[in-house]
Amino acid sequence: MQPSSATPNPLPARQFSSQPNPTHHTVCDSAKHHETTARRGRFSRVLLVGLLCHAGDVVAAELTEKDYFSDIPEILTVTRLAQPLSETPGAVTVIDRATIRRSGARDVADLLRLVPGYIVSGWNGANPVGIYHAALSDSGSQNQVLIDGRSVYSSFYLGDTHRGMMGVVLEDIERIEVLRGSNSAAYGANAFLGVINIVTSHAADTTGTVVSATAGGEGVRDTLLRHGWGSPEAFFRLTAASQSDHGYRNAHDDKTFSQIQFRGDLKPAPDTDLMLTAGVLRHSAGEGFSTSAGNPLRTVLWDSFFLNGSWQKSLSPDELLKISASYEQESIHDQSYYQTIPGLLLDFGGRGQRLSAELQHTVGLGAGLRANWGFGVKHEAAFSRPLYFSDKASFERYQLFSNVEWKPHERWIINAGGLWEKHSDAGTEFAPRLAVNYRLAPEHTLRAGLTRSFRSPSLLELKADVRYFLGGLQVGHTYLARGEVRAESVESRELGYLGELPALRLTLDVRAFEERLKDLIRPRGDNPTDFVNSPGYHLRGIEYQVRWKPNTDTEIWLNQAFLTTLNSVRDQDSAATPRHITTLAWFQRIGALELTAQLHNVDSMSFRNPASDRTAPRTRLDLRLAWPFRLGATRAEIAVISQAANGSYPVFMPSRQFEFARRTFGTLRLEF
Amino acid sequence: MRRILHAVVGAAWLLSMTLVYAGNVPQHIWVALAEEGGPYAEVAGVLRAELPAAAITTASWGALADSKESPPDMIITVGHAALEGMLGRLAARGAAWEGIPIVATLLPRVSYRAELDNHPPGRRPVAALVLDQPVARQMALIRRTLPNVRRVAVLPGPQTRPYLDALAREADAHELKLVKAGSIDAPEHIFASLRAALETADVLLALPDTVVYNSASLQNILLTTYRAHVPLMAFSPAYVRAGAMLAVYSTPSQIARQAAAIVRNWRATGRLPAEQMPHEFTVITNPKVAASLGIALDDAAEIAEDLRRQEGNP
Repeated sequence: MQPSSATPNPLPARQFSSQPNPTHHTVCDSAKHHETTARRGRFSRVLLVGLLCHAGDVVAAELTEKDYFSDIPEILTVTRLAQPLSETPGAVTVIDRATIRRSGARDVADLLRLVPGYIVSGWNGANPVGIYHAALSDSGSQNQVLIDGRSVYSSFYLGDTHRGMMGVVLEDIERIEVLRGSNSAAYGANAFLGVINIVTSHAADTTGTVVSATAGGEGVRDTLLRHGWGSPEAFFRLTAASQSDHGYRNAHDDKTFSQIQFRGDLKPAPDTDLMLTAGVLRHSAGEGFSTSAGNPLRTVLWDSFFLNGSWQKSLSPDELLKISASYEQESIHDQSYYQTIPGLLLDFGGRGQRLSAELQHTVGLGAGLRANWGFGVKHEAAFSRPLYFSDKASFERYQLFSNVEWKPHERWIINAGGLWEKHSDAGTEFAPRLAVNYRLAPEHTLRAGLTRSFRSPSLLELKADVRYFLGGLQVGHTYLARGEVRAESVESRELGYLGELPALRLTLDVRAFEERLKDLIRPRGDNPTDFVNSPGYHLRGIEYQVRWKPNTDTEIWLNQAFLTTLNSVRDQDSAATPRHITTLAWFQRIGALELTAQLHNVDSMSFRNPASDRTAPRTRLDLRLAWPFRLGATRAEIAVISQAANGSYPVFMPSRQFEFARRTFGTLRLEF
Repeated sequence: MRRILHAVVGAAWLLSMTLVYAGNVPQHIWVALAEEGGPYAEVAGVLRAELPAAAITTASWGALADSKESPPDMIITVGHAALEGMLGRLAARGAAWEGIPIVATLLPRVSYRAELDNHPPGRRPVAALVLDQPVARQMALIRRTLPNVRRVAVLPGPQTRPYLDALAREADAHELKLVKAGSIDAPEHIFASLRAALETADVLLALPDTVVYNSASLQNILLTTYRAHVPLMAFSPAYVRAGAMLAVYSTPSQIARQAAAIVRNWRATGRLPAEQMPHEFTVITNPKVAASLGIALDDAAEIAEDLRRQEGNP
C-alpha cells in the first residue's frame, strides 16, 4: 500500500471505485434514509429523531441501549469505497494533500518528480510538463490528465495536457493518483503513457477562508484566496489564485497563470450526489527567441473556461449510476511578425471547444463479480483560420466501454475490460485490457497485466492546413495534413509486486514492463508537412517505489526507474528516454518544524535534437522548512522553499543555455 | 448476661438460616424487560439458562410493576426503560417492596446514573451492569490494531464530557494522546468539531452520546471521516456494518452471563456490586473499510483473544 496506511486509493475513472470523493450527506437526509430502511417499528426512537429532523430541529434524545443495538443502513457501501492498492489492476502512486503541501511544489508537474518513471521539464519555463518514460512530446500529449473526472486533453493544437494540468490550484487538491502504465480501457483514449488522476477536495472539507502569499527569487510571486461555505445540504468553494515567475534563465518565458475555480457539492436526495465544477483560466507566457525569424519574441495568451458536472445515484449498496458532462473552451492569442519579412503575420491562435458526456453504470453481480459499463460522446472543434485554413475543424468520438472484476477466490482478482471508440475521422479503435492480481500472502500481492492503449490524432494532426500570406498572396504552406493518420498505440505487458509490510512500516511497489509503441504520429516532409504514422519502438524497464515511515515524524520515499529503448530507428527515440531516474524524498518533523528534502536525479536525455540538445545527467535538490503555528483561531504557516538548492542546471535546450536557476521563496499561509 | 447470650445465639441462628435459605431455596427473580423480543429476549433467555435454580418470571416491566404477585427476592431489569419504570413504580408500592434489590442490565452508564438521580433508591440495593466498555480496553484495542496510531480524537457531547478526563489518563497510559475536539451541544456544532478533530486525528473514537452520534448525524460523520482517511472505532456492531472500521462491544448474551454471575455472587455473599462494566466482549471489524483505508486488520476473533489475554482472561 502507499505510504501512509491512511491513504485510500485509486479511483480509476472507469473502474469500480469511481467516486472522486465519497459523497457528503446531510444530517436530515440520513434520517430520511433511515425511515425507509431502519427496521420498522422496532426502535421507534430512531425514527423519531429522523422525523423531528424534518421539522428542522434535531432533539437530543436520552442515551439508551438502542444506541448500541439499533440497526443502521450500510453507509460506506462498496460503490463508495476506494479500491485498496492490493486490488488495483495496475501500479499506482498516490500523492495526498499533506505530501503536496510538504513537497514545496508550485504546480502538478513539480509533484510528478515524486512518481517513479516521470521526467519533468518544459519547452520553456512557462510550460512545465511531466512525461512518463519517453519524451514523445513537449506538451504531454501522451498523458491522460483528469481533474475531478474531466479530461483536460486539448485537441486544438498538437494534443496538449500541460496547460490543462496547470488549471487546478494545488491547495484544492485532495490527492493525485498516478497510474503508471497504459490504460485506455479504463481511462479512455489518450491514456497512453501514464494517467494523472487529480481529485480536488470535497467542498465540505474546505469550508472557511485561506489566504496565502509567496514571493522570492526568479520572480516567484504567487497569491491565493479561497473561501468555502455551505450547509450539510450543499457546500461550495471559490478559489482565486495567481502564479508568476521568470521561468528559465536565458529564455523569454516570464509566466503568469491566473485562475478562478469553483466547486459545489450538492445532495438533491439521500442517495444522489451532484458535483459541479467551473473555472476561468488565463496563461500569459513569454515565447520565442530574439534570434529566430520565425519564432520571434512575443507573449502568448491562453484563456479558457470550463463547466463540469457529475450526477450519481446509488441504486442499491452495490449499484451506481453516474452521468457526467463537461464543456470547455479555450482561445489562444499568438501573433507576431516574421522578423526578416516585414508584414508577414505569424498566427498560431484560434479558439477550441470540447464537449463531452458520459453515462456509466456499476453493478455487483454476485459470485465475486462486479461489472461496469457505459458510453460516451465527445465533440471537439477548432476555429482557427491560420491553423486549419477553414472556419471550423471538428471531429466526434463515440465510446463504449466495459470492465468486469471477478474474484474467483479470495487470493485472485481478475480484471478484464475494453473500450471501443469510433472516431469520425480516424477510424475505429479497440483497447482491451486484462489484469490479474494474486495475493501471495496478506502482505504480498503479485500483479500481471496486458493491455493495448491508443491516442487519437489531434485536430492539427488530422486537419492542419497552415498557410502564410503577404499582401493577399500565399507565400508559404508549412502544414497540410491529409487526414490519413490513425491513432498511435502502445501494447503494454507488465508484472508487478506490491508489498505492504506494516511490521517494517514500509511499502514497496515494483513494476517491470515492456511498452511497445506503434504507429507513432510524426510530422513528415517539409513545405507542407503532413502527419503520418511511423514505426514505433519498445521501452523496457523496471521501476519501484519504497515508502518507509520509521516513526511518526519521519517518512522516506525512494523511487527509481531503469529504462531502455529497443528497436528504435532514430537516435532521438533512444535519447528521449533517460536510462535511469531516481528520487529520494525525506519528510521530517522536528518539534514544531517540518523539513523536506527531495533529491531528484535524471540521466542524460534529449527532448529534441540529441546532437545539440542533450541534457547532461543532473541532480536537483529541493528543500523546504516550514513552521505551522496558531494565531488564536487562525492556523498559520510560514515556509521557506529552495528549488534546485544545489545550484542551477541546464534544462530542455542546452544549445540555448536554458537553465533552471536556483530559486528560494517564502510563503505565508493563513487559514481561518 | 444469659439474655445477651441468647440474643446473640438467636441472631446467629437466624442469620445462618437466612443464608441456608438463600442458598437452597429457589429464589424468585423478576426479569423486567424494556421491550419484547430482540436483545431483551436474548438476555432473558440466557439468564434463565444460567440460573436454573431460580424461579424466574419474565415479562415486560409494565406488566410486572402492576402484578398482584408477592414481592420477588430480586429484580433484574433489562434495558433503560425497564429500570426507569421499575424504580418509579415500586417507590409507590409500600414498605414490602422497598428493600428488593435491583440489578440493572443492558443500559448505558450515563442513563443508569441519571435514573439513580431521578429515582433515589433509598435503602434498596441497586447494582448495574452497564454496556460501556472499560476505557482501558478501548485503548488496548487501538494499540493492538493500529500500532502506529498516536492521536485518538473524540467528539465531546454532553453525555461523554464527564468521562473525558479519565479517557485522557487512560490514553496516556497506553502511549496515546487524546484529541478533544470542540464541545458539541447541538447538532450544528457537529461538523465544525468533526473537521477540527480530523485535522490531527489518527483515529476517531466514537463514544455513545445521542447529541453527537444519532441516526441523523451518523451518515455525515462516517463519510467525512472516511474522506479524511481516518478510521472510526465505534461502540456497536451496527456502526461497523454501516461503515465504522471496528468496534468492541458486549452482546446481550455476554451481558446476561455476567448478570447471572452477579446474581450467584449475591446468593453466596449477600453482596451486590455498585456498577460493573462488561467482562466479556466481542470485537467486530469491517474488513472492506479497513482494506480501503489501507489498514491490515487481523481476524476480529484473534484480536479479541489477544485483548482477553492482556486483561488476564484468556
